[in-house]
Amino acid sequence: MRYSLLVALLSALVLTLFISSLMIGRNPLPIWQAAQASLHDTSSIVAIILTEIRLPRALIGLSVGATLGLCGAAMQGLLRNPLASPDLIGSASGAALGAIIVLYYGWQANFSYLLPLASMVGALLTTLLIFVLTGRSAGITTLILAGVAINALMGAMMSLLLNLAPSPYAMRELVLWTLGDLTDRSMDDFWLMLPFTVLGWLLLLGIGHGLRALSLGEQTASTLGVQTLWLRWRILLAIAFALGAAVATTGMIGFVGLVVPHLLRPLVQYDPARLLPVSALGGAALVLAADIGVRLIPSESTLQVGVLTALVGAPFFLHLILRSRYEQI
Amino acid sequence: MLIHAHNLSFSYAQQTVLDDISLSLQAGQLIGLIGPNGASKSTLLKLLAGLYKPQQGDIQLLGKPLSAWPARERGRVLAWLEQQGAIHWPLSVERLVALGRLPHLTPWQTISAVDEAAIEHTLEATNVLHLRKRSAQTLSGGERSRVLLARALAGQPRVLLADEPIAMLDLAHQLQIMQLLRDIAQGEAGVIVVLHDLSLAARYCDQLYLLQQGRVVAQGTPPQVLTEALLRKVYGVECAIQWGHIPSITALYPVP
Amino acid sequence: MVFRFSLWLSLFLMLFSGGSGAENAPPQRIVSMNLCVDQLLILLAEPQQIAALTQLAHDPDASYYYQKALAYPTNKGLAEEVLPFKPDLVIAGEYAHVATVQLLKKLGIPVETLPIPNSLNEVFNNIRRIGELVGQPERATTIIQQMQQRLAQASAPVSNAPLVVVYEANGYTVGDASLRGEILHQAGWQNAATQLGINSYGQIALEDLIRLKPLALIDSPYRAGTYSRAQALLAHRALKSSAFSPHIIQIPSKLTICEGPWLIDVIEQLQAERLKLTVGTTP
Repeated sequence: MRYSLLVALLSALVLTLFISSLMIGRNPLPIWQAAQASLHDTSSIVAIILTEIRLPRALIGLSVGATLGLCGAAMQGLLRNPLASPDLIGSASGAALGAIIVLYYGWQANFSYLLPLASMVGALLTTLLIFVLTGRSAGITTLILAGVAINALMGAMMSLLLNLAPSPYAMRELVLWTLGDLTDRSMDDFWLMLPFTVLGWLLLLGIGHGLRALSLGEQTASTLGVQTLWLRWRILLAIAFALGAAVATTGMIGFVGLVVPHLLRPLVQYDPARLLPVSALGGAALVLAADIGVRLIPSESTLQVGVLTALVGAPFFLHLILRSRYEQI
Repeated sequence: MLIHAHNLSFSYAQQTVLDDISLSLQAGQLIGLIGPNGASKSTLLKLLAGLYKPQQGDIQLLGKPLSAWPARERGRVLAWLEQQGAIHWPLSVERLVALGRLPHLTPWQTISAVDEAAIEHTLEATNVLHLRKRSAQTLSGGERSRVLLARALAGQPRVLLADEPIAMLDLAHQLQIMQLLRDIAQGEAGVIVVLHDLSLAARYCDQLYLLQQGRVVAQGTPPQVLTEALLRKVYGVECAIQWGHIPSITALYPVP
Repeated sequence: MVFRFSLWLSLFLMLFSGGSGAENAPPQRIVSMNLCVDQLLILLAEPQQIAALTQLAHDPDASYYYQKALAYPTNKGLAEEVLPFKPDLVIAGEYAHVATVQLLKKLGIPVETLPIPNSLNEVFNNIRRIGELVGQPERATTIIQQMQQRLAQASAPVSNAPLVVVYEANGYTVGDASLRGEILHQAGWQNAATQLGINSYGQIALEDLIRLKPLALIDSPYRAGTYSRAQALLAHRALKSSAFSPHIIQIPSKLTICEGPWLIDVIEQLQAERLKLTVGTTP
């Protein structure tokens, strides 16, 4: 498929899902009238529902999905490993732990930027730890095992900290962090995550040639003029910024960063550079779709968006492991 | 002078790997690095490619210290061909070879007509034109070696550092690649190649450096380096050497 | 050692005597296993009748009689904690651990359970019931009568009752068939949650809340000043938008968690808030 056609199709898909996300809610919303109302008369009820409830949800879904796809593609390119993704190796759970420390113990009440910042530090430290643990060209098994250990540790810490948190509601919210949730986020949340998200995305601009060169291994890449150490740090920081902000806002939405780049890779002829923008679009589409899904599935209480992405992603992950086993042996 | 290395020493984990090595590559020269396994031939090549920094000594590339070269500029004049290089994604041969043009591109530049022409020429020269649409991960050992060499040549470097480029190849392809290296090492460009096949080294190289345990044991033209006495000393093997139109070296194992 | 022996002896005796012999004498060592029972015991029983309260009785946010409760030891509702108090009556809540209650009964300790009241009448029943259990029926009757008198004074029929909704962490709310639902009515409000078909208890989505456009929200935060996503909901921007921005009536959680005479205070407060908010509008 032509690259420009693929980008156009994915963009159209994202746009369609974005508008659908605005239309789906507790009650039907005449979206066109609501949009007009929100331009002329910001005080009408439909305008409030559109701009303060549905719009932030769709915008957050869009940007978090894009971040997850992008970070997955960048990490897979950097580690040259189709099974690497920020949620599997533990970056996301580190971010969630950071957010939990700040949110439930009241630190963020005085300074709201502390929430995304703590998440970023969490993501940075866990990713760094994984990079140090697994070395420069991480084998699949090492990477996954390290990820399992980190995820288990972070999960235990999250559970412990929520248990000890002063709020009586804290413990029940573990599921929001482990499975991700977009319910009732506000524009405040979106504005809080946006600068860090954009900063993370900007850091990934122009790394395409570097990732391409890495297809030949780290040393060949550096003889091709790629500053591999700087590239690593850039991707590490980008993941910390964008993923940290995303997880602080929605919790961990699993498998998007794994599945999306992997599905799209053949469509860009395995080019790790072109994979970045299409993975961002694909990730946005997947998260928006999953978030529409959880609102359409009739359930007693709200269903977490990560439930749907995991239902799609986990079998896919098993399939990948199986395939990589045949290829390796 | 393309490369001039002077008194290089390199140690790794408190073990001296290379000891006081000097080497120069002139334009138009094909230099062979030979020696038994563990002689640190590959390490020397990596030092010359700027992948490792020597603890002592200096390396000049085109008259300028190697470490002073900006990475991308250096990539335009010097190519390093890894021994059994990796191909991590099933890229098409065409795209893989195009990676050799990366040092010529700024981060946002795409392949130009000049780049296209260079790629085309290299694909043809390395005899892989017919493979251009194939996935690089489905190639045979010989095809793969040629494609990776094509990648290294696509940037049209003045210096090619090739680490055992013919290790995986059959006889015909070995000759073909050595002839190709010979053809490249003309005019402005020079090649340093790590080889194990001493007959091919004798036949194609202008200069040979015989390494043993990180030291240069002998250096000079093939007849100067490839003597029965030296090979006995370095490899511990009795050899019969015949210099003719096509030089040949027959190894005779010592009778216990 | 002696203590332990006597404990086992008493357990042994209880097992075979089938509980305390004197049915008519009021119990002297009552252990409560429920926060609301704690409150009613402090309200009705003589202090020396109370052997132990629940741990929550010492939580100033949850316990109306927090100060008085500090005088008594507490338990977390485990059988092994309850036994050393050598209770002659254990009163548990409706949703106490079945296993604990069964175990205590098996050991011959009389266990009574107090239902959760869903109306003021059921509140009066609970007060009467505890009064009888602790041997203070007259005290209970007096309290009930006082409450009924104050109630009669406070509530008056209101035409055009304004909309109000209880909105707690995670959007939990109450319907008409609940105690707080009745309290809203008594105070002259109309409960908006019923319009969503919520009968007793339920969750209200933010979008629905905005569509209902209630005049006021009732917030009764338990452990205010702690943080969670659930509690952050009340700070959502949509609730502050100019068209909506409902008045928020704060009622301390210790007044709303359990039943007691203070419920009349709540009704009076809600009355006063309604009058304040509807001043100038047509009655």
